[in-house]
Amino acid sequence: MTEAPDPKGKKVLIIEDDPLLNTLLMDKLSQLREKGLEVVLATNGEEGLVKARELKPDLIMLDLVLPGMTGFDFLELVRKEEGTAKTPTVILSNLSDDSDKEHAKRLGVVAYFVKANFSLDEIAKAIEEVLANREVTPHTTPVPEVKKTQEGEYVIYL
Amino acid sequence: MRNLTLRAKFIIVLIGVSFVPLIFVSTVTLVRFQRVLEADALKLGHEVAATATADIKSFMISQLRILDNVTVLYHPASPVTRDVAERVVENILFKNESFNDISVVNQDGKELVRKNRLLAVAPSDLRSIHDSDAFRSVLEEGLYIGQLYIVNGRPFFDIGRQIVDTQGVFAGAVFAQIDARTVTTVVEKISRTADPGSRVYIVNDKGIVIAYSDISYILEERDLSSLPAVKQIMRTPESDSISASYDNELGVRVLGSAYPMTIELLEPNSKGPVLVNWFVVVEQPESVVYADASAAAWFLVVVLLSAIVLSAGSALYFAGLISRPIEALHTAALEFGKGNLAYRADVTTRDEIGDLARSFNATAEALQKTVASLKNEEQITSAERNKLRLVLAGVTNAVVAVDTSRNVILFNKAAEALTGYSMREVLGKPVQGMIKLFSDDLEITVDQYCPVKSDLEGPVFRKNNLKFLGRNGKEYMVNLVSGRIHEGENINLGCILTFQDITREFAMEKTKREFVSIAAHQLRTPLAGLSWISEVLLSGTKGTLNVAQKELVEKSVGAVHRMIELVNDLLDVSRIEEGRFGVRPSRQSIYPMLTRVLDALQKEAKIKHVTLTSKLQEGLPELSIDANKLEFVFSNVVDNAIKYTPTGGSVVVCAERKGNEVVVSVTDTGIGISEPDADRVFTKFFRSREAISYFTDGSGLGLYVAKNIVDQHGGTIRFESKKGRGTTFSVSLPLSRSVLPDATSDNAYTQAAQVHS
Repeated sequence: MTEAPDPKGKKVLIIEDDPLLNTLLMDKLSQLREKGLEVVLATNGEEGLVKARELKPDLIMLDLVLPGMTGFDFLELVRKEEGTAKTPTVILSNLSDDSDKEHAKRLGVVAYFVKANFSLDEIAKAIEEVLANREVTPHTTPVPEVKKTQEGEYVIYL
Repeated sequence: MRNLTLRAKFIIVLIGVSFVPLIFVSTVTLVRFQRVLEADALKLGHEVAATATADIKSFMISQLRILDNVTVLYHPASPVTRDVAERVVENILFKNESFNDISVVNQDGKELVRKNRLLAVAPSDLRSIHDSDAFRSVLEEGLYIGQLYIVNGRPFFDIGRQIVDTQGVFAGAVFAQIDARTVTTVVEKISRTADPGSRVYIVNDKGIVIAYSDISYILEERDLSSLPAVKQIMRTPESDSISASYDNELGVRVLGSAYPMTIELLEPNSKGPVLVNWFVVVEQPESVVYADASAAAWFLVVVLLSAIVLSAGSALYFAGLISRPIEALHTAALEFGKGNLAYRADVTTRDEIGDLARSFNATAEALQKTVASLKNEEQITSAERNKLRLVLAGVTNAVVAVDTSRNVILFNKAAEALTGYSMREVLGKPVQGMIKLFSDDLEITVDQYCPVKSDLEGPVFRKNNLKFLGRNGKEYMVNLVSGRIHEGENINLGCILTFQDITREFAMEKTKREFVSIAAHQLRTPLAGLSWISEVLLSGTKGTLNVAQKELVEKSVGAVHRMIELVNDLLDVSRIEEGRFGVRPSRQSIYPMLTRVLDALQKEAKIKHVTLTSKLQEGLPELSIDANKLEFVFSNVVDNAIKYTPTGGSVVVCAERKGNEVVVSVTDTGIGISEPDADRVFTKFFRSREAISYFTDGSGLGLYVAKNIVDQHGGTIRFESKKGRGTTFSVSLPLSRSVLPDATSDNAYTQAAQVHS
């Protein structure tokens, strides 16, 4: 892990419908926000789409199970828009099926977190890392690094 | 003849054999007999004719002798007077009734004396006959016998003879008119000696009757020259006799014989015999002549008829004797032909036909048995077929059988439902016409699921989760197994395709999967919240906790994490059971994975005061493994080892190559596993009594999932344990063998497919 870069001017869009988790995430990211990271919340896909267009975020954190359109639906739409086509996206979901992970991978996500299996710390660190490596093209990133291996749940840095 | 029955042939042959010779012999005999009779008749006729001739001859001669008496008149020594001459002549005339008129002539043919029985002859009535045929004949031949003539209704003929004197010198002649009825008397006399109905008559050389029992014939000068016998003898007077069979003028069928009446009168002075050209005709009615023959013929007919009756009867009887068994055989054969196999030929004779019938019956018996057994076999086969049909109709899987040309020969109800085609539509048609199969949108061809040439037996193609496109465009999910049997080619059986329609199960599985996902999501979200809250509390950003508070929050974290692990384990079990728990292997070293496991668990070992060490052999080859999944396996095994090893104990992780395997063993000095529980260690939710008494937490799912993962790597996991002394878990991973295919990907179970893998 390298020294955390300056998050000033960087924008993160979090799409998560659970208020408790949102609160905790926002709380966890407060340190980074103090350093200049802009964090925007959306509680459903439609809202997320609007905000993604406005914000042109550097990172999208996406829940898959959402009211209305699913995270996958959102991701497909986002990928079709010029401004957000290549925005690094991290999945933050409690779905853990291989099929879901593969689907996400096909849609170019850079990491997949099963929320219950990761601590806030680990998620925050991942955000920092992704923001630091934003130039990396999602599809060509080498060797996936396994962060946590129990029960076959893992996160991949792509 | 050819179309006649045997019986008729027998009868014909028997009759032919017995009758033709009989009839022939009879006919010959009859004809011979007739000839004999005819000869007898002719002989009789001959005798009659001879008698007649002799009689007439002697009559003639006697007449001529009588006339001889006039010779005395010419005795030169004593010449007679006229009166004397007249008296002599008169005397002769009246002594012989046959004479009607006598005249004596001199050398010159001049009548000297003439006397008539009825008329007085005056001297003036004397005439010269010098120029007459009679005188000339007498002069030249010495005798004269004239033709018959009628005077005043009476028949006469003239005779005359030369008279020589005592010196033998021609002196004159004497002529007499003879009543022809005297001849008739002769004929009548003779006729009486002949057979009744016969007639004897004399005709002259013109065929005119000159002697006949009925005087009217003579008076009428009846001409009988038209009768064949008369006609022929007139034509050939020199022949001895003529005989012919004909109907005479009275309409009677007669056997007629005619004989020339040769009367030779040889006188001393005559130059030669004088022939009288008369003919004696003897006619005997055939009815009389052949009376015996016809009687014999009738007798023969009667004999023949009785013979016919007798032999026809016996022919019938014998033909019956021979043909009845044959007919019985025929009837039996016909009955047999009609299918009446129980019919037997009723023949009891001890001859060849009887043997034949017995052979026939024996053959029939054997055939009946054979047919019965065949029928039985057929019934069994038919029952088998029906059973198979019923079974096939009953099974929910679609079953399609094709011949070696891959045309459909069997199509059950389920196949009809799946494809949308009826059996009648598809029988004999190429199977690819109704089978549309796709695997990941790639069509599976008939050559894949039913290879034409294959020495393989049993399942030749097996693939799950295929998309089947029905006739109406409806999509199904199916599992396909295609099989061949060894004797298939002999009965023109190519493949048997069995489709398991899993459309419903597939949908249900999807639903279930979604449910599990949602459930997991629903459980995990609050657990994640709890976990994170604890994390925040412990981080101290919300104020520092005192020791007691911190201890409580840490306990809360432990509880939450156990719940999270439980959810994760349950999810894994759910995936294993759905067959979705696949490994994604890649070639890599196992060191990094093992190191991560050891590193991650050092902390826990330290806490428990258990030494965790490793002995990893160097230079182990790369293996085809799913590192994430194997890490889970070893984490579990090592974690268990630490958990169930009392303080002060040790856990050693070893890795070494053994033959074609890399064996990773985890040895502890823990509580051990008791014998009775050994078999159930890898079953889900199982925890040994020792484990429960030692450590109450634990889902009992870890080793179940671990075994599944190892199995999918083609490896084995086993353990040795001594209760209270420790346990060694060993995981063997193959070096070269590829891992088992991912159960969720639909690769083949088929042998054919495995050849390529």
